[in-house]
Amino acid sequence: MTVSDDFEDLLRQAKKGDADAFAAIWRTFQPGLLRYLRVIGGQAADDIAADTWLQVTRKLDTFQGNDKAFRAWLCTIARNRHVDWRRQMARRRESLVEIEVLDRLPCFDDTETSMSTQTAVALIATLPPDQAEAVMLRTVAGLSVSAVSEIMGRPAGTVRVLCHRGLRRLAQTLDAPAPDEAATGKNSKNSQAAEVVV
Amino acid sequence: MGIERWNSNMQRHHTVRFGPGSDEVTAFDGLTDNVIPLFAHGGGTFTPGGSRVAALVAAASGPAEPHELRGESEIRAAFRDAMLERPRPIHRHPRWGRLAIAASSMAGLVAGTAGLSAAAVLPPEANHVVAQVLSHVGIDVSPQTSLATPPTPAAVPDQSPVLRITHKTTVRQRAERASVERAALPSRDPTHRATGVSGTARCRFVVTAADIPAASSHGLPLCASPAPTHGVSGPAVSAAPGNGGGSGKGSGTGTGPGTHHGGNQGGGKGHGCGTGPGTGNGALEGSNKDPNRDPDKHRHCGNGAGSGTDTGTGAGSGAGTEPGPPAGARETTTGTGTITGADGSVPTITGASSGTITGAGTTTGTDGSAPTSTSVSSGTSTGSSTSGTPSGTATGTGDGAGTPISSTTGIAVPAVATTGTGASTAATTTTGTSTATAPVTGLGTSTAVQQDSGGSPDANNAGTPLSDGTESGNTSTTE
Repeated sequence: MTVSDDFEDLLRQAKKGDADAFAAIWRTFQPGLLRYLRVIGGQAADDIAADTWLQVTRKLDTFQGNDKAFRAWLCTIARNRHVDWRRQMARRRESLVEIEVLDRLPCFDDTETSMSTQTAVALIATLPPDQAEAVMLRTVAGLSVSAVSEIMGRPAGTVRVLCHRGLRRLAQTLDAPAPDEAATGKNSKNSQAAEVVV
Repeated sequence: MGIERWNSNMQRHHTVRFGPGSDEVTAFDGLTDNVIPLFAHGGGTFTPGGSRVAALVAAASGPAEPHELRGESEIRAAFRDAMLERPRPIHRHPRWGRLAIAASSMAGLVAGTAGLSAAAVLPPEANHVVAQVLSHVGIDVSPQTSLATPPTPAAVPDQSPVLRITHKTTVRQRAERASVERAALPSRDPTHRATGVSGTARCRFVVTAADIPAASSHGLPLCASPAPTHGVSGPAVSAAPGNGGGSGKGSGTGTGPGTHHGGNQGGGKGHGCGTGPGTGNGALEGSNKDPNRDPDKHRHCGNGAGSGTDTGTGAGSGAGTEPGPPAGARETTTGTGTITGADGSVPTITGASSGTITGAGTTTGTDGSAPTSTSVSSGTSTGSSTSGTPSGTATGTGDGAGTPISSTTGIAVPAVATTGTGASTAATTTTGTSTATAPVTGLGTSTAVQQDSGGSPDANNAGTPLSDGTESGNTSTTE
């Protein structure tokens, strides 16, 4: 049973006031939302996510659609909350990734090693904000270009370009040799950005 | 040495497996994966950087971690609060509401347009276009026909001549013609002759001896009061003798100019044509929108399958209201009657009464005996509004201050029936002054039972029987 199969039933029950159904929805979408907010909102991700879900509880009756539509709706609310939060803070977006995180990035030549979710999100967050957001929405949240375009308020072509550049930048970062390897001259790969077909 | 690096249970479309000995993608779920196609060369081969990006994205989409699901209890509580605060859902049918609004708006638009077109409020060009458009949907809004609906023959009363007035007839003209028509109306009872103008009624009648007991004993309404036919719909007729007041609403027939609307909207395809028999003397209107056609020929049929709408019948019909005298207006009624006693003597009753006269009594004149008359000014209680069966005819057209569309002619039903002959019962009261002057000859007594209402009695209406015989010459005036 997938999320798509269950979602409509869960949504129907949640609209009737079933807290368990709503909790199931929350458990399904909360991780992705939190990761998205960590990329665009930094340390305030938890607070913004909480505000987002509060808004969802108030407006749940008005929502109609499937799980993908719900994900897009959720991201839209989260983004608006983030914008509000940023206005309140009146400060520039701070760097979300400590330098130590970058130092601890795993070596991908070691195929036995996998990247943790937290590290992956942190790495995506090193991208420029719009690229990071486009990558998160497009690739992690799995939204379509048009949905991302609506959420970000940017043209579809721009979204494609942002996503492309962000991913290529990630590829360059991941292909960069480790400091010790660079010193020995090993593994001097050129980062080859693939021809991207967006 | 291929291994499965990662497999997400949460987002299956991000599941990536790498093939043995290379970075080839051997399989991945989901066709809409956003990463694999981005960094895949033809054939599904990843570049080294691309494969790592795919792994990174897959990791970013990994299953939920425990710390990410903290706070579920708070979310549940917030959800319950929100559920408690939200208003009860109102079951409604927005689609039906929208449909109703749309339908009513459409109906209003069509009706309004048709009305404006029918009233000729729109400019001629717009009027014509509207008439053409609406004619396609079966709505005829030509101004002439809308004003003048030809009545069916059955709808026209055959008891009276029908006054035909065109819709252009002015009120005054109509009133004059109505007056002529009234004069020409035959009396329905030879003993009653009705002439009258609105507000004043005169009646003359003769009460035969056979009518005495009944007529006189019931107060004998010798003349009807003005029948307040105002408000009475239908062709204005007052059956009350001598009374023509009141208002009349009626539908008459009229001939009006008909207009033939025939539009050519073919534009080279079909051609509507403006042919057709218009029963009215209507003008033929048509337009030829086909540039290939001679515009001068638009009055005739074009070719093709065009159709014109013939709306040329211009029979005028309408309802006019002619206000009668206001309620309580003074009316003068003069009656003349003759009472002949049963014993051949001529009783004379002299008296003047004013106010309300309620007739109740009996006049008995027997041969040689002294008749006892307890009747009320028999033959003199005139002007009363009585009920009964009307036997007279009168036209009820007033002076026509209204805005009638057509004539008002026919038989009206008076609001208050009047009995002119025979037994009658004065059911209503007469307010005003009633003067009865008539010789009474005969035996017996005549007592007038009188109820004053709204007037000062000039005299008791007690007649003094002078002799048996005929009471004649009663004339009363009631105001």
